[in-house]
Amino acid sequence: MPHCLFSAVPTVAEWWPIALPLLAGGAAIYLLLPRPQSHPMVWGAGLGLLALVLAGALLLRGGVSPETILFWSFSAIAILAGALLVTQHNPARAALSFTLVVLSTCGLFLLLAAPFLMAATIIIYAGAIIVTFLFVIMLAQHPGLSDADDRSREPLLTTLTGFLLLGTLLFVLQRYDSRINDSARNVDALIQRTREAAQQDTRAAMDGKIGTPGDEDELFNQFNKLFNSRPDWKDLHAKAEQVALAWSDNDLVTDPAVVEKSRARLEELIVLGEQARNRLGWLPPAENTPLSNMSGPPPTVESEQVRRDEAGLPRMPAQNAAFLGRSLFTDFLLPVELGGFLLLVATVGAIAIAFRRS
Amino acid sequence: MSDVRSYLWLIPALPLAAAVITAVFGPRLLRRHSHWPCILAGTGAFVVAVMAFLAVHHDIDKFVAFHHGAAPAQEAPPDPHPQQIRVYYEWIKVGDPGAGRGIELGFGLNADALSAMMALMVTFIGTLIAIYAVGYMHGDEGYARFFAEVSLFLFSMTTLVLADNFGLLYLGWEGVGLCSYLLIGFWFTRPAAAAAARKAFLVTRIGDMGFLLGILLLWSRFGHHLDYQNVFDSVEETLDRSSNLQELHGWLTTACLLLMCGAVGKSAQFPLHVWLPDAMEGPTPVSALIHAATMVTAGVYMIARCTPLFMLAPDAQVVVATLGGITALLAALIALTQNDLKRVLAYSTLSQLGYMFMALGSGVLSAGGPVVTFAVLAAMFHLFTHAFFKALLFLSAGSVMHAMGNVIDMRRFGGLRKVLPHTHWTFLCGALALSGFPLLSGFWSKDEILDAAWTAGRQADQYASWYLLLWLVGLITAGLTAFYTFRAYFMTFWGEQRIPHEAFEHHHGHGGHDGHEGHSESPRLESPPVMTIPLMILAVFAVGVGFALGPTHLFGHFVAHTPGLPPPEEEHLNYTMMLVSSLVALSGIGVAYWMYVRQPDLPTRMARTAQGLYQLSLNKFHIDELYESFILKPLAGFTAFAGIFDLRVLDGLVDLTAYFLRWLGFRFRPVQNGLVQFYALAMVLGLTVFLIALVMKL
Amino acid sequence: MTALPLHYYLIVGAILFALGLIGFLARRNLIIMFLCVEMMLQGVSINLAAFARYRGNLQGQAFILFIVTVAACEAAIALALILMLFRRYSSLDVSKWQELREPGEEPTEDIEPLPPAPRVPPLPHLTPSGVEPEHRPEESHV
Repeated sequence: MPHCLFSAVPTVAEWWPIALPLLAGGAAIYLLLPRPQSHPMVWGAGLGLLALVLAGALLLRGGVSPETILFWSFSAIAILAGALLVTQHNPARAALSFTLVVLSTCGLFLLLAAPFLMAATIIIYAGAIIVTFLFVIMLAQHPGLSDADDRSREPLLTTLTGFLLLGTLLFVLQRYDSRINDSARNVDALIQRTREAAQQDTRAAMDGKIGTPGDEDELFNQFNKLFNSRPDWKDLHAKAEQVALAWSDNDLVTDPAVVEKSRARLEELIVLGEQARNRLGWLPPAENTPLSNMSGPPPTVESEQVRRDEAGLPRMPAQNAAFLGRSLFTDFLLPVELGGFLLLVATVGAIAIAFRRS
Repeated sequence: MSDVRSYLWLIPALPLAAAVITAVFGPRLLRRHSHWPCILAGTGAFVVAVMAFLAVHHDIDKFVAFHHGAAPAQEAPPDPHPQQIRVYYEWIKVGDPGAGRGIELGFGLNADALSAMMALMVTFIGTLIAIYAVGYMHGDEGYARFFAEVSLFLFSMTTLVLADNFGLLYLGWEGVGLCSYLLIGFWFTRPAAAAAARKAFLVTRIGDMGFLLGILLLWSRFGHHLDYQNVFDSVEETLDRSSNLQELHGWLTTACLLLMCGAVGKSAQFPLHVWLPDAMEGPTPVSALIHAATMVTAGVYMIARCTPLFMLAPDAQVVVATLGGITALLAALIALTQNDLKRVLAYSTLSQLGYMFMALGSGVLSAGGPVVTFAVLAAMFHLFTHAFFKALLFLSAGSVMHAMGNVIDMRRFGGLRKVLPHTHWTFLCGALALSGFPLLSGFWSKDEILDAAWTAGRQADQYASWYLLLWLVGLITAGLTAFYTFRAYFMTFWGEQRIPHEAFEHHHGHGGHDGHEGHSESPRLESPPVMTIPLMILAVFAVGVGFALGPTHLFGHFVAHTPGLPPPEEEHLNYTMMLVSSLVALSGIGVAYWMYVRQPDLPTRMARTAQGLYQLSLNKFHIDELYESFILKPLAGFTAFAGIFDLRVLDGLVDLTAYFLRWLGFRFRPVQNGLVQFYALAMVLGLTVFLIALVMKL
Repeated sequence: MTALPLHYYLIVGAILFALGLIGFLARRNLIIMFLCVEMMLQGVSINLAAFARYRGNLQGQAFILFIVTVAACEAAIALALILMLFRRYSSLDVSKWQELREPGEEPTEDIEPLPPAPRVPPLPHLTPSGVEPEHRPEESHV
């Protein structure tokens, strides 16, 4: 049974980090939506930038690394371009903003180990679809100012609705984050302690880092308590018990190679901790469902069976296109064929609809 | 005899079959011959009634012979009050009647002395009138309908008379009410006839309500029975062994008063008498059959049947007698000034019915058991004779009307002695009988009634002086009866011969004429033999039956053996009473002769001098108008109010619901404004709200 | 080295989706409406790619390919339809198509007038080439 994330009405402390940027963003969009007598742009633009900065400051945590900076920039460009698209008078400029959105999204795809998708999206979207849009804009020109471009339908209500929806989604994600984050933080702290203990030279120093047995703060005790706090860590608890037993075993203490053996025990503990950490956010496997592994490890595998990199994420194939192709033509053969058929029908249909009989 | 018991059902069944056949086949198939089923059924019923009468008579003879020792020795003494009862069909059985907690009704017919006599009279007169109606209704469009309804009436009346329980009695009661409605409103296209039929039905209905309540009260308070024998027995038993006599006596009196309500309605006593004069809108045979001979006597029959109850409730009895007295006097006063011949006869019927009620109310137990029987016998005897001479009078009046082209206003014709000889003689016989001319039938029966009232006045414990007053009222009314009867006779048949012109237009060639009013010779306007022969038969009975059955006590001895009546004692003729009533009758006839033959202008002068009284009598004492303003108008107002309430308030409430929903719908109309983005916005808004609810777990 | 948490990507996807939603509901130009639809699809694609990455599965990426395919078909048909609609009323305003409203209701019309068009300065008039210009003998100083 997954944890229920929605078991209490949120407190103010929980949702003010979401509410502030949303309010600012909502006001910005509302001011920027086209009207016959539109407000000066500076207000909207200012508020929008403020919203973005607040969002970044309050919501996103994590250290500075190339990945983080890239993620930041791509996201910011995507959101700004999206806002521009929504509030632009000129449809041609709007199409160009959309191109920018697509390009930033593709950047995000790259960060997510999907290079083929990046290329495909740029080619299809920025290459074909937007060009088609621009052609249609050229063909369907309205001389002079048009009602369509300079008015909005219900700006207040739509902004409210959209940001309300966004707020709900962000709230859910925030909650998810905080729950996972706490657990992740705890596990990381314990793993860090174990690492420090493993780096000691003598058994006595290790014992000192670990702490006196029976103490509240003792490492093994903490591990036990941690593994007891979540139902999907229960089996790890048993294993940790074993390691603890092995640790205080007399045979180990009196063994001449006590340091290496102790270090090995601690390594086991670290492994357990990392397994626990990788299980965070990993859905428990489904029951007896035969799923193919042509697209990668199926959802039924346990968290430990997946190969992971140093960051703890599952490893994605470097030959992304090849593996994607294998997945498409084995697991998703029918959708591929149907997709092709759909394209054919769309082609014929578009021509049939738009054909001007002279 | 067990034979008759098996065939009793024919008496009601034959007319019912005739009714069905005439109704189904009459209009198309039988047409001019639609009268045959009715007449044949009536004759058949009469034959069976004679057989039943003879059977009961035989049983009574056996009893009399036994007690005089002239019969061969038998084991068991015969029944002093013989009756032939047979239950043919169990109709309703609910609950456990045996244990006294249910209702049991059956189609049971009972022929005892009273019922047999009534059945005989009803079938005989009914058949005669049906034969008369063949000529009277000749050529009418609804010929078949008429005979179907008359047959249905005969069925209802015989059921009423022969029933052995209150339920079947009520069935017959309602049946005659229905047929009366149908027959009064026979020419329903005339608004006056339709109104009169409605009035008759509704007024009798009021009485029927009381009647039903009385029946149910008897059922609930005195053992849960509905058939006569058990009810009477259980009333006696309950009163005998009860400790709470006062309360039970009160219930009994109430029940008797309620039963009397029904009789008041059906027999047209004051205050429910208003329907009978208007009922003359129907054809004359109907008036003769229903409103002279049979239906109006149903009330009298019912009270006579319930004598065992009434004699235990003297308070109810005095009310009966008083109402009878009031009705007799009132009707006689009104009849003095009426100009419509049939109306005069109608009021005279009311008056005679009042006499019968007066007699029934005079049979107080405190004056002795035999007095009860004597009083009941007096009422039934008067009923019997009245049936004959009133039917005769009505049919004669019908004959006059038929000859005069449906003109019945006495001021428009006169001196018809020479023109309608047969009718004249039969009418004279009936008039003499009605007036109480010595030695004719009315004389004997009216005399017995006065005798009963006098006896009650002398020997009753309670209300003795009141009964004497009623006796005086009866005497005065006798004089008035003689006066107005002969006023009508003299106005119609004596004086200057006047024939209205309708007589010649309407006349369909019975003897050939030239179509001009002739004063010198008497035109052939007399009715056809099919009409005059029944008249003559009835005239014979009217004249003779009183003498044949009255002083010879044949009638009395026969009917006295009805179950429930105390045993009678030997009768003596009260010669003083006979002398007094003869004087009164003859003086009434004399005054009428003097005023209408000797001094024809005297009536008008008298009317002018006593204008107030004359108008009061002519307008029927404004009773109809009183009812109209004090009962009908408020009811109509209430009905109108209820109608408006239903229309505006109740319907309005329902409509309001509809309007409200419609209004609500109209408020939502602008949501569909055709803009796609608006619809999409609504969808997204809904989705958002739903998501928020989900997230907050609301 | 810790990886970027999954939900950061989900947040970006959500923001793009919401922005696209607002644009679709608020803008009246048919073309811009469809561009916003495409942006919503982009947001969803980011979500799918993130889940694929954090699961180690390629199913998410395959799904994105199908999304792109369908988006392309949809854009083709949609643009053809936009052209047809434009030919009808020679306007790209979606509010022009409101005949499916409740009968008896007034059509929704815009009340505020548009600002006057900015005065476009007249383009300079160039003399046509190869044609001798008119001479004005009075103006020559020869």
